[in-house]
Amino acid sequence: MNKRKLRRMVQVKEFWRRFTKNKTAVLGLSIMIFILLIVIFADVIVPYSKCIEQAGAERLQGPGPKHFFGTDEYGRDLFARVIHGSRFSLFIGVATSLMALVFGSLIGASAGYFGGMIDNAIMRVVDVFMCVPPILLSLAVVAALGTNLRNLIIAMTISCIPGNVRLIRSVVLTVAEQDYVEAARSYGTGNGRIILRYVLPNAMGPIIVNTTMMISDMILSAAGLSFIGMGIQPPAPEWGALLSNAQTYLFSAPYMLLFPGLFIIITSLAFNLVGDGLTDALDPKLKD
Amino acid sequence: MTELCPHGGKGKRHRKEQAWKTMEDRKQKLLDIEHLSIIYKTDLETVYAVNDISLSLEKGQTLGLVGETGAGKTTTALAVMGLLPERTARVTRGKILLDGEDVCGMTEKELLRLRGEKASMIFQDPMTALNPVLTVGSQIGEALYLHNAQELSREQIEKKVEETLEMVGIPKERKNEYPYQFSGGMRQRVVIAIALVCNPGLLIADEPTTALDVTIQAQILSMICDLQRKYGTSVIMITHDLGVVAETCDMVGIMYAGEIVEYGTLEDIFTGKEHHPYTKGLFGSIPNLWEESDRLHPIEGLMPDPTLQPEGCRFAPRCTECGEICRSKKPPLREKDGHQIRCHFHGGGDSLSAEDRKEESHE
Repeated sequence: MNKRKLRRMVQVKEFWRRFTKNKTAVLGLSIMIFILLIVIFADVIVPYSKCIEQAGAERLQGPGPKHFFGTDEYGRDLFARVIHGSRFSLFIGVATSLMALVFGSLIGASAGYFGGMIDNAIMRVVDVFMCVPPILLSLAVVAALGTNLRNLIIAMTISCIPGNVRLIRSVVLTVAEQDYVEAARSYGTGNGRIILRYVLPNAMGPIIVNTTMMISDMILSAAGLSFIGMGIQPPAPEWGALLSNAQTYLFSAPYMLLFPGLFIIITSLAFNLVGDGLTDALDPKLKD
Repeated sequence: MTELCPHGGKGKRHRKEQAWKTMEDRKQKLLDIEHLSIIYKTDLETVYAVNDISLSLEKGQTLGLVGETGAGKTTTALAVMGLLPERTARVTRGKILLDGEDVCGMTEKELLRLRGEKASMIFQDPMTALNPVLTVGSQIGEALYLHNAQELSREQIEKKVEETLEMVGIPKERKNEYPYQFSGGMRQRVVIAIALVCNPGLLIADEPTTALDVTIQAQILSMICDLQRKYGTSVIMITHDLGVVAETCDMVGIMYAGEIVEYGTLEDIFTGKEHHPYTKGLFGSIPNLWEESDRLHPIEGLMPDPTLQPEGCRFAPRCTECGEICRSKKPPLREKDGHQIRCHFHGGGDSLSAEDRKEESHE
């Protein structure tokens, strides 16, 4: 058992060595950790009450020692709102990506593995969904279900499942042709078990990378939905909603736009960099 | 590393009495293929992969299937496992009786039970036949877990996995390692361990040594033979190496373009007087230790297009003894003491088999 742990450690070490060779990926990872710390310790940094507390006397204050990022039109502290907004944004990004990963994997793997009629049926439905722009699709679903956090996540998951299905199907197509899949069949492994234990784990590399990239996409489109008022509802702080709010005061208080926008950019950049780094570190063809 | 007997084939050279007579006899056999024909049908073309072959295999025997690539050896093997690609392959005729049950008529559920438990397969390339993300121990345990008839506990399965690893000559401490940590020969041992862990009655070895270097080939072959003797497993050895056949087999079937052109005991094929011209060509293509010659005599030409169904003998275009009748009439399977040859001019002496006599009197 001990030996096994040791071997795992060696593998992880090797992966870590290759990941850290990519300096931008390490930068991305540090930013990611920094933002995760903000998410975890948001309440320690500044209590949640501060970001919904309205103070008429301090409306539209610029950044300063009292309010680091300034205040909005109700006198709410923007620093507190950005800090706590990270919780909503990241939660939405991670949750939708994971859900899209799970459903996309199951649907895409079935399509790629079984082929034939099942593949055709699944892929034609996916094609139909692909015809609708994702943001429009999530808008339609949110409009139909009503705006709240749960429905927003459902809507965004639905909108990004089709692309995921396509990607996973294409990876699975190549993996399903491997000898070890046929070998597994030859000793009596059922289809479900083959997909879960043989096909998907071997297709994981590109899927993991895609998921990290998707998280940043999802943060952006959550921001987009909030921006047009179909996402997180006020007074809850979310980065997109903050931006949406800021556009009214674009010229008189540009800092209201600047800080949430900066955080959105930095976060999605960090996830993208990490995704790039993972691509290289997990690709066996680039082993050196 | 366990001691490996260097001449694994030798010990089992004492042949059983030829049991090849009545239908009652044939029903007792482990595997009985009757008039099997398989096609691959796509929108563009139909490939006649296996054409009317009949085979049988007793318990504990080894049958060698020899032939060029594309002769239908692997298709036959896949058919026995019920592993033919569903969308393209069709069994157009014939039966495959494994332990008295027809494999072709089985449901998917029955097939899952059959694979691994009653029949299993060793694949050609050990480098790709193992799942890279599972430890070898868990891959060996997989078959046991799936066919857990004796309801073994987790610990018992682990124990059996360790035993099986030791059996194929790998220290049991290595069961938690991943396939990439093994060399080609060691991986083939793992593949064999997976195939044998459930004690199947039939083991199909599809060119088990083709991807290995010569020194490892001998080890692997003698190991297969040892294990076969120990557990009384029947083996179908698919190969294009006549040396492998001589070392390991009891019965030999020579396949050409989806047909069995010659079938008999090892002695029939290697020392018999009468041969199919193709068999002669095969032997002419390997160097002989006792005769000095400057050149080998390979068979001229290529295998016929498998999408065509020729009228006469399939081997006719390449045959050195081809006559008029060979181009127009399909040769019958002539039989003498169980040694069958599909040729107009060879085999059977003057005695044609009953089936052929009927055919001839019919004309």
